[in-house]
Formats: sequence, structure tokens, C-alpha cells
Amino acid sequence: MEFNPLTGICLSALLVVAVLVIVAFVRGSAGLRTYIITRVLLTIPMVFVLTTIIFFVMRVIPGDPVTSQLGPRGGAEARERMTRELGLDRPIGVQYVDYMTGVLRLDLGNSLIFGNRPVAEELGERLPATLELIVPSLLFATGFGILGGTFAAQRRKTATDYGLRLFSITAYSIPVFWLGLMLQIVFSLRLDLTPVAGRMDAVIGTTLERTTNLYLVDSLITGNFPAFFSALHHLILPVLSLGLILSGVFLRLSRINVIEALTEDYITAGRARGIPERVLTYKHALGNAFIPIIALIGLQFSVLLAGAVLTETTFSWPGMGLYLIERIGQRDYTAVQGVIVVFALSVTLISLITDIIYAYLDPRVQY
Amino acid sequence: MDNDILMRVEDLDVRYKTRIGYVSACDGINLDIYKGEVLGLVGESGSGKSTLGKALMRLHPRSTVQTGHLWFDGDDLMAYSPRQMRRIRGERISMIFQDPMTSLNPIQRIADHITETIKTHRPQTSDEAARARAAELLDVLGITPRRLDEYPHQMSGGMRQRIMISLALSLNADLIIADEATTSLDVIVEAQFMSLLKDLCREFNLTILLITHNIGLVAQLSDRVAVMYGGRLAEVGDVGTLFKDPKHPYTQGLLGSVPSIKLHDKDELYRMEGSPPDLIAPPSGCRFHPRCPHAMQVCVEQQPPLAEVEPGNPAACWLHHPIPEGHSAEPLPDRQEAPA
Repeated sequence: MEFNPLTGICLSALLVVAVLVIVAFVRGSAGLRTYIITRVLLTIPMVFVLTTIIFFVMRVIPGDPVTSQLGPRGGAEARERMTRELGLDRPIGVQYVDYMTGVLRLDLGNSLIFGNRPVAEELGERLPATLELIVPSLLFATGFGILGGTFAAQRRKTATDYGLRLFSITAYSIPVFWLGLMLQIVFSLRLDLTPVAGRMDAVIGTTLERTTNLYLVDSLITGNFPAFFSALHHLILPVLSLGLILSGVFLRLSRINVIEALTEDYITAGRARGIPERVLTYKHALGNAFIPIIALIGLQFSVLLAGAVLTETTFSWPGMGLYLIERIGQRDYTAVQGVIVVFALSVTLISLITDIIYAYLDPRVQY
Repeated sequence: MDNDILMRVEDLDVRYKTRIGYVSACDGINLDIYKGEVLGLVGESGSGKSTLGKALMRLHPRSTVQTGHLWFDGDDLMAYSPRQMRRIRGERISMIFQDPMTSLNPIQRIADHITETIKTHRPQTSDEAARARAAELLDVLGITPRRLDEYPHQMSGGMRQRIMISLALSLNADLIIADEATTSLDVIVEAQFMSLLKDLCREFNLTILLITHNIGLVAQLSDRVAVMYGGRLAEVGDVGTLFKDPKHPYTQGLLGSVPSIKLHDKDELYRMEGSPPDLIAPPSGCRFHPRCPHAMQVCVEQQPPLAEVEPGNPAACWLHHPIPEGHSAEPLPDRQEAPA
């Protein structure tokens, strides 16, 4: 099997799963072990069912890859030839079995549109791009949102609190593309501080040796610092717009949960033992408020894998969302199926990690 | 005697803000707590006894108005800054809370509860010393130190209550306020708790303010009792005298309402008429007058002083004090004559 970034990502994901499973086995209860094994095994039918559904749904909806490429006026002969070349003339059952056996061998097939590149190779470029966008955005959003929310909760009904609440409502009611455009206008066009779009300066990009397609990682491991800073420079605006928008939800959720935790008896009891308010708020209350926040982080991560499409469009960021929309439009069956397989695996992995973090954070959680 | 006062509560008022007005939960409380005594504070639900307990540690939120003086060790705690107050809490005055099921942080190990408290007040304590102290405390309370690393949900209610006690004892506080500490426990655990507390009192010479509506608990544990009604003190006295010969009609009614297994068929349980006063618009004069079987004209017009009836046994009732000029001792139309 040839090595490409997608395989790399899959392998690192597997590594993460392996580490988690080992940790759970060593430190967790018997219940947690069974739970993790069940969850990992359940992924198989889940991927199977999802892929099957997508396989047939894609073929039921009107339009097909041949028409989308040749246009409505394409000659009958050309159509026939292309249909045969793409293997779409075979009975649908045969196509299905063929595709599914491929998936079992971790072969996602070739794209059906011009170029017919392997889907795995294309995803290997797109998934890292999305990860490089959403991981920093989520870090920014959660860091800022959780601290801001806790800060506001501690100062409930003061000017600071009202200010932060106003910010959070504004943040999550602003469309991300609008904020992105405004940032581009101010920082890129007026102030000329940041690039308008893309992942890296085109000239510097030619010097970058790509292995993982996470540009920050690639440039660091090859010691290509101009490329690293270029990647960082290009990340600022997209991460800022996506992160600010997301931070609104995290701020609201953290604030309300910390406020609720602060009314608990153990907070009063702690106060009666002379524990400082700062410790009560950031350790005791926030610690207990963390469960729903973790759930939201996991959920947002899954959503953003495809849902960052507006940010990706605004900043011409060649990520998964953009890819999915593009390929649905072109009826590129295999590409869409490939995306779904990757999503299914990611969602499982994320919820598995979330659940293990739960069990770690809250000793009462039983599986 | 004066030297032995640990805390003197002087003219303490506590008012909660609500949407429809201020609730006068504690009104002009004057109370001395002596060193080494167990002082029972009894009263119905809503009589302001828990409010008083929290007020002694100034645990009420800023929206609650609290005035008066809390003389403790020569200082007025009411004049303390939040920072000074924080140093007092846990170290000098500690509290055992009503509900042991919710008063421990569910995500914190038992040991961490104790060591955190110790290290907050004595930051120079080493981790090992703090942990050793935690183990020692658990041992005193009859819990094996093996359970130090467990979480609260792994323990029973009685055990958690003992953890709460160990937290209150962890820094040898001078005054321990036990706020309805046994309410959520079943009778057997409650009995164990009582005998444990009794032993601890003897062993460590603790000063305890025992807030409860359980008269039996007070009778067993306390040296003195303070009876609260409608945010005011009705009567204070030592347990023997007060239980044998209650002066205030409310105390009489309260003691008569305690069911006993030895009650004969003919003895009827006393049923107090009416309901506790509305503290947003409390009754004029004596707050107990709408329910008092002996209420007189003066009781409606003038608040009775908490003055001594017998040495060390003050009661706030006009039956025992000279009626001021211009007021009448005529019983209210529907009430009976004062007892001779």
C-alpha cells in the first residue's frame, strides 16, 4: 500500500485509539474497557451502513458524473465511452460489491471526475487542511470561551458580565463569512498585515516538502522556517474568524454551567472552609461544569469537519467542506463516499475520546 | 464568666432581599457562646436559625443585609475585610453542613478535601504532613484511611457526614457550627453521629453551636439551649432548667409537640395553632402573639425584651416582665387567662 497523508492520518488516529485503549485498560474499570471495545467494534457496522446509504443515495439523486463533466450536449458516443471507463455501466450490485471490498482493503477507489486521482490521495490533502484550520480555531474558541464564561460567571450581573454576554450573543449571530470578509477588508486590504486567502505563499510553497500536508508540521519537521511562518501567517484570519464565532457558544455554555455549579452546596461548604473564591470558581465550579463543555467540544469538532465550509470558501482554504460541496455538485460518487468513510471514523474517534475524558473528569461516570 | 465568652452576638439583624420586600430573618439577636459548651439552637423551619448560623461566619451573599456585631476573640468580625474573614473560616470557625450528600465536591477525592483545607490556611504544610493529618482525622472518626483516595459518591451518607466533621475538625477550629447536621441521616446513623459528637466534645473540648429542630438531639448533647421564633430569640437557658420549666409559651408549645414513644393514650400531643409568621410583614409586638394562647393587649403593641427571668435564663415574654405604662395586660378576646 502506497503511503499518502490520509494513510498517515489514519495511522495516527489508530495510534491514538491504541493509546486510549491501553490507558483505559491499565487505569480504567472493567466497565470502561468493555465500553471502549464495544465502541471500537461498533464502528465497523456504522461505516458499513453509512457507506451503503450514501452509495445508493448518490445514485438515486438526479444527475451523474458523466453528465456533469460532458454537459447536457455531450455526444452519445462520448457519454457511453466515459460511462464504460468509469465502470458505471456495470450492474449496480457489482459496483457496490466492488466498492465495498475496496473499502475493506482501505482502498477508497478513484475519483470519477477529470484526472481520476485516487480518492485517498485527494482526501490526504483536504483532511489535513481542515484539521489545520479547525484545531487551532477550536483551541482558541474553547480557551477564550471557557475562561471568559467563567470570568463572567464569577462577576455575575456586573458590567463585565453584561459585556461578555453581549459579545457572545453577537459572536454567534454573526455569519462567519461576513466576519471573514470584514477581517479581510480591514487587516488584509487596508492594513496589509495578513494574506487574503490560501494556506501558504505560492513561492514559499514550492520549497515545502509535504509529508503530512499539515503545513505547520511539515515545515517544522523539515526545519523550513519561512514556510512555517507563512503557514502561520495565513492561518491568522481564518482561525480568528472561525474561533471568534465559535467562542460565543462556549462562553455562554461555560458561563451558565459555572453559575449553576457556584450555587451548589459544596461551594458554600468550601467557602466556609476559607477556600479562596478564585479557587472555588476555577477549580471546584469549573471542574464540575466541564462535562457539558467537553461534550460541546466533541460535537463542534465533528460538525466542523464538513461545517467549516463557509470559512473555507471565504479564505479559499482547500478543506473537506469545500471538497464535499464541490464533489456532490459533480456527482463524484467515490469521492463523496470516501468523505463519508472518513467522517464516520472521525466521529467515532472523537466521541470515544470525549467519553474517555468524561470518565477521567467525573469519577461518577460509569460505563 | 465574661472571660469565657467565645463569641458574643450583639444586635444582629439579617435581611434577605426578595422580589416583594425584605425578609427579616434575624432580628436583634443577642447571644453569647461560651468556650467549651454545646449550645443548642432550636426552632421551627423558617425561624431563622440557619440564617443565624451562616451569619456568624458571614457566609451570606452581598445582597443580604447583615448588621450588628460579632465579637470574637476581642475583634468584631463584622468589621473584617473579606480576606480577613476568609482566614477565620475553617481555621477559627468551621461549619458542618445540612446535607452531606451535596456538600462534598463530587470530583474531588476525600483526601484532597482535607489537604486543600489545611494547605489553604497553612501553606507551608508539606503534602505528606497534610495527608497524614487527613488519615489521622479519618481514623478518629472511625473511617479507615484506606478510603482517603475515594470519591464522595463511593461513601454512604453517614460516612460522608463524618467526612464533613473531619473537615470541620481539620484545623482545630475554636467554634464549630453544626447546621442541621443530622437532618438527612436515618435514625440509626443519627444516633451514631450523636454519640460520636459527644465523644469528640469530651476529647477535644469543642465549642459547638448545634442548630437543629430535633429537641431530642439538643437534650442529649447540649449544655444550653436557645429557642428561636420568627427571627428572634424567644428564650435561652441551660438544658435542664429550660426543658423542665420552660418560661416562654412558644417553648412550652414546642416541647409539648415532641412525640414520645412513652406517651400514654390519654396524653395528647400538643398541637400549636396557626403557622409560622410571615417574615416579610411580621406581626407587630411579640411575633408569637397570633399563635400564643396567653396573648395580651401589650403583646400586640410592644415587643417584649429578652430579659432574665431567672439567672441565666432570659425569656422574651410579657408574662414574665413588668408591663410598661400605657399598655394593658387584658387577654385578647379569644385567649385564655395567663397561668398563675
